Amino acid sequence: MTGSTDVPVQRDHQGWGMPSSNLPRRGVLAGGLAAAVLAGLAGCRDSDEGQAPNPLLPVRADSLALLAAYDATLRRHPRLTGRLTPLRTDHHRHVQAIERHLGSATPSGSAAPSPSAGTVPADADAALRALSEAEKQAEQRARQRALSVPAEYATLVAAITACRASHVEALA
Amino acid sequence: MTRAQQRLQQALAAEHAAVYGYDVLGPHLTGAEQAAARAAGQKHRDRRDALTLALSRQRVTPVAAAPGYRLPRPVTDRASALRLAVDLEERTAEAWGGGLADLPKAQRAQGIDAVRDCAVRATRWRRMAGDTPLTVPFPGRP
Repeated sequence: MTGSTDVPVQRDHQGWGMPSSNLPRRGVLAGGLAAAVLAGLAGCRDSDEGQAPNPLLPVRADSLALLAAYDATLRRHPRLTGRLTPLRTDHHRHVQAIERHLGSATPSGSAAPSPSAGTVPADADAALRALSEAEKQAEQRARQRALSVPAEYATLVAAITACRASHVEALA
Repeated sequence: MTRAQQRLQQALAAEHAAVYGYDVLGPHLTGAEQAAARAAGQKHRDRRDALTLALSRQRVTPVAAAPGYRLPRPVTDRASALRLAVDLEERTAEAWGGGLADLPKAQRAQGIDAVRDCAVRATRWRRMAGDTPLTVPFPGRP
């Protein structure tokens, strides 16, 4: 195949393949601040009702549950460490990213029930299949969340959705 | 053009580039890998066509494919072909993922699914290439 080198660069910082458009950058920060201000106003109006739970909380709960499932599987099947540790790390990164968004609204402690290694299948392949199924279900829940979260969370929750889907592929 | 339409144009440009990239790398693969490249290229064609139609319906002229694209690295063999395939998927995911905040909720599903599909294919290519780790924590987040 030829003809790939004598052409203008079609990539710049705005995106792969985008020729020339000048997308003004709206600050994510600005959106976040606006949301914070609105949330603050809502809080003033409804101080007795309390604020609606942050839509990232259930996504975090699933990430914590997945972390616990990986930990239990690793205790039962130490030989899977090389394969599972990078996936576990992804979930840990998700929790960290969500908690950065939540700030002081982060619930203390883990709400996720910690499965004991005893609930993990003794057969390593079956254990991998169980993790894959957990990832798939968590992916589907994240996708539903991604459709409805406020705009400033859309990229993050879509990324978490996609990551969980990629884990299903990695566990295959 | 609205901001959402600009974002769709960015995604379309990325899909054009991905279609081009797969046409370039496919011939350097064989067998099942080449078939996977062909299938992946077709997925990007499908999204390209859907975006082209959606933008046209909104009376926006869809961004056209460039006659060619400078590739991040030359593609000379299987290894560089697989590397490019990973790259194409990561970049296309970013074009979709980075624009999600600007799409109305009714249009979000296509972007979420595009990011997810790119991430899954990227993982598949990394496995074929023998790359580790197989995944990234935040596909599509620029």
